[in-house]
Amino acid sequence: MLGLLFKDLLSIARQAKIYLFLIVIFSIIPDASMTAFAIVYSAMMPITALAYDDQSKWNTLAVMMPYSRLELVLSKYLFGFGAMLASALLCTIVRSVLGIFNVGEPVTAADMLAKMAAGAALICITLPFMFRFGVEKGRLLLFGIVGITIAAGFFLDKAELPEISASTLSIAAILAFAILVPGSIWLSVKAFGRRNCF
Amino acid sequence: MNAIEIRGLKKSFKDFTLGPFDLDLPEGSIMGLVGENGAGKSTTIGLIMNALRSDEGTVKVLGIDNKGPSFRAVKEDIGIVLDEAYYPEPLTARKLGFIMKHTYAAWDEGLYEGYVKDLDLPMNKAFKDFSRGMKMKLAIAIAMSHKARLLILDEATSGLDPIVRDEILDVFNEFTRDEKHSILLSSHIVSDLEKVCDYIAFIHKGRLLFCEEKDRLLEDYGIIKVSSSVYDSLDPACIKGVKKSPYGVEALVTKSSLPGGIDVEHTSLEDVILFLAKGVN
Repeated sequence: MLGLLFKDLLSIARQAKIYLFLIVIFSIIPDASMTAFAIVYSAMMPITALAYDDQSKWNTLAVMMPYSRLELVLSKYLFGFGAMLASALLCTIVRSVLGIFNVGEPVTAADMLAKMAAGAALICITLPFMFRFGVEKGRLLLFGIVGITIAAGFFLDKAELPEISASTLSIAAILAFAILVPGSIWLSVKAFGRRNCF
Repeated sequence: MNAIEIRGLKKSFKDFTLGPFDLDLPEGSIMGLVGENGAGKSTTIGLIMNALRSDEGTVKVLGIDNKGPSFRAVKEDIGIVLDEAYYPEPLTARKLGFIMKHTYAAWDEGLYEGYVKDLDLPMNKAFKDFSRGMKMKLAIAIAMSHKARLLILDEATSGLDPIVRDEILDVFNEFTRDEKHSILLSSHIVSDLEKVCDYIAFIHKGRLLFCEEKDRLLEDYGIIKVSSSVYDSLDPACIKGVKKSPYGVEALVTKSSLPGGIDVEHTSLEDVILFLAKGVN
């Protein structure tokens, strides 16, 4: 598994440097939504790694190496979650440093967790499709999801919704992720199993 | 012990069926899997490695059923090289070495660096800038650097120039000096197989036509060039393949069942395969 994570990281090393630069830029901009961009952007790292896998037909070889299909799938989830966590930490550090000089607003743990939850949801929804249809077709779906999310956000903003307490929202989010993450991994393993790697 | 043991293996696709067939690769030997493009060689390798699910039959690799839970551990002992080197393009030989160190428990960094040096490969050049020959040499270096007991090579030498091919065949010969090491080498370059293999398995249109010791094949078969009338007088059982022309008949025969008085020429592996394939057609 560690070999797979290193493979993904080293494959996208050049893009990762650009990501790091952009995350710092997003963090410097004193607008809370910019850190959301940085975190959601890093959630797309496994898709870039998958694109390299598809291009080189890595999985044809990988299924013959000492890796199970579950490990091949799981490594992409871990890579995505790890990239988001690193991105959130970097944003927090940059914002905290700026806070010393009274520039921008410091980030809160709840704010960061909410943004990471959005990124994790994106990973969980898109990866099963990427594993089933490949990155090229899967990216179309990604654009569709982003479009639907923006539209939903716009309508929800206009709608008068009843007030929900933060604790209720937290419990709902934890329950949703307890189903979403294992459910998505299960679907990805099934999708990857159906895909003809050879 | 057999390094590979196949029994009743069968896989059907929409327009192609492979098998059913049996095949044994004895430990310590090199077997050449030969056949035209699309004959089923790569499919056989996919089935051996359980990358493809078979419809029928069983495969044991290094004594372990390839569908069982223990097969994952057996993969540690198998070095695999496919017809292309399927590594992500931004990686270098050094980075791949680092990745493989965290993939194979028995990865030997010194051995890998030795192969990379001996095969004249750059350590820090991106894989995308490698020539095909360099890519295949790197794939072979990786396959041989985790103390594998079995090498499975699918068209690893095709598309390479004769000098690189010869270099790689020398590496394979060196590998099988250890009697516990075995190689399954698929290729349609028969001259390569003739150089290094102990056994030849010939797959034609999804059917295994024979699996024999190479020396025995060359010893048992011969070529005769006779007139049509002499040919017609021969026992059909000794004729394995035939080419007829207005000038006479050329046939592949089993020497032992041929009557005396007919000149028999030595045959090459390529001739045996060509005659047999035409005979089946």
